[in-house]
Amino acid sequence: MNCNKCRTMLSTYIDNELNNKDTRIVNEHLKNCSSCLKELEQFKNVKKILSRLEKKEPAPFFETRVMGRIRERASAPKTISDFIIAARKVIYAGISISVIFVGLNMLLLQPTDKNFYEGVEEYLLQNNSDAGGIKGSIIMKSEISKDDIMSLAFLEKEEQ
Amino acid sequence: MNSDIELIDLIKKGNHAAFEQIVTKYKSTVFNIIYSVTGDISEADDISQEVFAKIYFSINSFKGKSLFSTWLYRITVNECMNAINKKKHKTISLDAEFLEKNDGTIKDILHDNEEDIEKQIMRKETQEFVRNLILSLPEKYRIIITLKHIENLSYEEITKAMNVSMDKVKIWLFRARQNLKEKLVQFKEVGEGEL
Repeated sequence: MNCNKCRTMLSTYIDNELNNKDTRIVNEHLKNCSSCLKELEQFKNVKKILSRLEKKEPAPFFETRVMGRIRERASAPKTISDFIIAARKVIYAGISISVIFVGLNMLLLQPTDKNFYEGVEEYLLQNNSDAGGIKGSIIMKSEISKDDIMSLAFLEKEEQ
Repeated sequence: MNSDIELIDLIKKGNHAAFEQIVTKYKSTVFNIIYSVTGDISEADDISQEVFAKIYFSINSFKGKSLFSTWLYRITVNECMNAINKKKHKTISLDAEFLEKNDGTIKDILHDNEEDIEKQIMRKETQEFVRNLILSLPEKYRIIITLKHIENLSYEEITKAMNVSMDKVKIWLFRARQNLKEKLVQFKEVGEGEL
């Protein structure tokens, strides 16, 4: 296992959510790699700092306020105009969704770099070498394993 | 106190006291998730009320196929995202003023062992520091960090609460922590040494 691969697994490792095989592999790597060991300590520090957060309680009489809101909403009279407004909203929403859908389709046919990479992440996460059809053959015929794909997804920096 | 399933059955029959029991049991959980994501107490209170109102009015759609808590987490996360989208929160940047204010504290956290940290840092400052750290993250990372570290959910539970795959949970948690790690290193003056 190389260091990049190990580092992507450390976050899962400190939560004890790696399977037994991967845990053994990471343990073996950590025995001989001081830089990954240092990375592990940093992840543990982050976890330790986050664990210091204490729970807060909502303000008193929360239940009373919730019940008040529910009563208020339940007792609000329903009129024909409410129905008309709701129906209009549904129609407008339908039209908007159709327009957005058509627009997005047109946009996606001409991918920019950014949405290309986002698409790649989605695609890579959803498809592996077991996938069937054309997508499956692409993965199968290439030499990319699911591990490679996961490593790429881990290391891809996201815009904030 | 009755089990969740018993309480849900009673609520479906119109029992308000049973609903109040559910609110009492889960109000802290819901409030803390929302507060951690929004960073605003009054907004967290308002959205928490909305979560329980939603639960009350849609209780009949809960068929008991999952745990009630899973359903509750899902509604809470959705309401959080709705609120964020309505009033797009500014991502809090860890600016120079904050850096200056917390610089010594952070260096201590990074260098010292747990006992020393306890001695050196006032509890309130630590709380503020950690909350600001979380608030400096993009929304989805705030949520996943909150579910993991405040609610102590397993990865499996997080996949259900956020309606994302296990791979995404692992990647988002990795990125969120990596992001926090980098911020801590920035505070500590880049290149000075270990985290």
